[in-house]
Amino acid sequence: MNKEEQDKLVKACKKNSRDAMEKIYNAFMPRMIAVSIRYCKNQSDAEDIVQEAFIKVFKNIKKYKHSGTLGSWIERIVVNCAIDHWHKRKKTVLMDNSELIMETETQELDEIEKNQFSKQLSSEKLRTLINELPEQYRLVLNLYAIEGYSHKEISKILKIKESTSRSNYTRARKKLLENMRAIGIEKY
Amino acid sequence: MKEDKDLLKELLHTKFKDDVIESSRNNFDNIFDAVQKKSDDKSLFYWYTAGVIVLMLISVFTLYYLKNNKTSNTHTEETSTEIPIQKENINLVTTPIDTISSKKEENNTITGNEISEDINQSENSVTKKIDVTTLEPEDEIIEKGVITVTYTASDKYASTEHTMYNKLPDSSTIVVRKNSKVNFTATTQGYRRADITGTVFLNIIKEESKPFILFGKHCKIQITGNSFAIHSDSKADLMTLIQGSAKVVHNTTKEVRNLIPGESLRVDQNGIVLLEKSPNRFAWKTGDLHYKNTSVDQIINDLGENYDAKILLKNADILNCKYSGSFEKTNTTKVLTKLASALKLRITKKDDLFTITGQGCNK
Repeated sequence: MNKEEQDKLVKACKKNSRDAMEKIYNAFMPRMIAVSIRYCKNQSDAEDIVQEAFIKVFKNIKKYKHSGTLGSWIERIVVNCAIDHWHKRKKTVLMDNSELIMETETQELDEIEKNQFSKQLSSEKLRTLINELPEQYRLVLNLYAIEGYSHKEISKILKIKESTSRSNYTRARKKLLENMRAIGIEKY
Repeated sequence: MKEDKDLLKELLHTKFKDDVIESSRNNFDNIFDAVQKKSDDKSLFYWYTAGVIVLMLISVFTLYYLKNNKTSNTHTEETSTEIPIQKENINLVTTPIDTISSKKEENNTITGNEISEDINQSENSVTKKIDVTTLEPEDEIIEKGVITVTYTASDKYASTEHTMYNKLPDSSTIVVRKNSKVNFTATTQGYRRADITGTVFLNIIKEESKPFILFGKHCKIQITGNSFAIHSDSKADLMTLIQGSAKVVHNTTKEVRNLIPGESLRVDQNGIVLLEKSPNRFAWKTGDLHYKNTSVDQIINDLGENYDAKILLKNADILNCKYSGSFEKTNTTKVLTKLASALKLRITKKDDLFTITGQGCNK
């Protein structure tokens, strides 16, 4: 779906067109489930989050300014819904201290290894590995590495300290690398 | 390390960039319904808000209308005009006159008995919707939302020189004498109610649909367009009808009496008694003082009460002297002059202080 088509559909949505809404939903729903599932444990939760997000999308479609792509706008709403979902059910917040992280302990990832992982690890497998991470690490990793938020933004979204976000990411990354390596992909 | 971080980030970003997962269910119907419901809720909210605003406006206008209708002639403004009454002077030409009935008269200078009050409402019009004779105490409860004004005059502010002419919300004028109190209410039952304690003079604005009812300690008086003097305390209610008409109902015996102008009544717990003369305590208003073997002590007291007379006695025995006689349209100087000639006393006046010298009387 190109930008023009999207804009047309958005216009129709603003006029409360059911067809346009359905088209947008069908076009973006699989992608949004993939985003949402990284923030929760199972697909059912992910689908609930996406449903809630799409209700917000269509309710607030008039606020969409056409500045970014429609996909990234919806994606942000999905992420926000997922974070809200997490806030509602979270019980503890991991309080990491970055000073305790021994940077040297992390074995570095180089280009070769990265390419190997890229070829041999399916996104589904990678998703499973990410899902094995402690919840808050997972959220920080998702938001920082995949969604592209800064640690400052993450600290606001997750209501944690910026330093905590950084240390969470460092630990998440270390753990993920260990897990990636553990499934048998040799470094060289 | 930095490079490492970027590499993993890059890897993850690339891997998940176009990641998609097919849904196991199609939730669009639910989503669309929810979106529609929300917009319905929103529009309903607007309708509810508009409805509430309309209802509020209607109730405000209704209340305003009802209030205006009930007290069409009541003004919430309470004006307290302080008009100094003329002082008596040595030339014996001024006297307190019927200042309450009209402020125009306040500056009149009279030379005798030439005051003639306009008696323009001599008819006894008691055919009101509310009849004081049938007014039960239960009806007297003052309900919320009615206009109530209370005037209390202390010793200090109700002297003759500083008479307070108060305009009630219905434009009736009242003068509240020393240590007296009026509580005025435009009742929801549609009549005007004034609870009286102490001495009060009233000039009532006649209004057929809204009878004016005075509540004394022992009786209720329905008065119309007139000039009326009342004193009410726990012992008795004293009253003089100066003009207009009045109907008096005893609180306990339910005895009814119609008053004609000039008549005075005393109402106590035993019943209603017609007085021959107007009570001396109304002299400020009526100008009449009547004495029958009365002590000078009492006379001086009356002059002080009514005219703020400042009198100095050189001999305390003078107080024991008795005097009989009547005064009409009188003032301090007139009374003292007569008293002096009858009791062989000598009166001198400096500024507003009368000095009485002479031989007194034995008890």
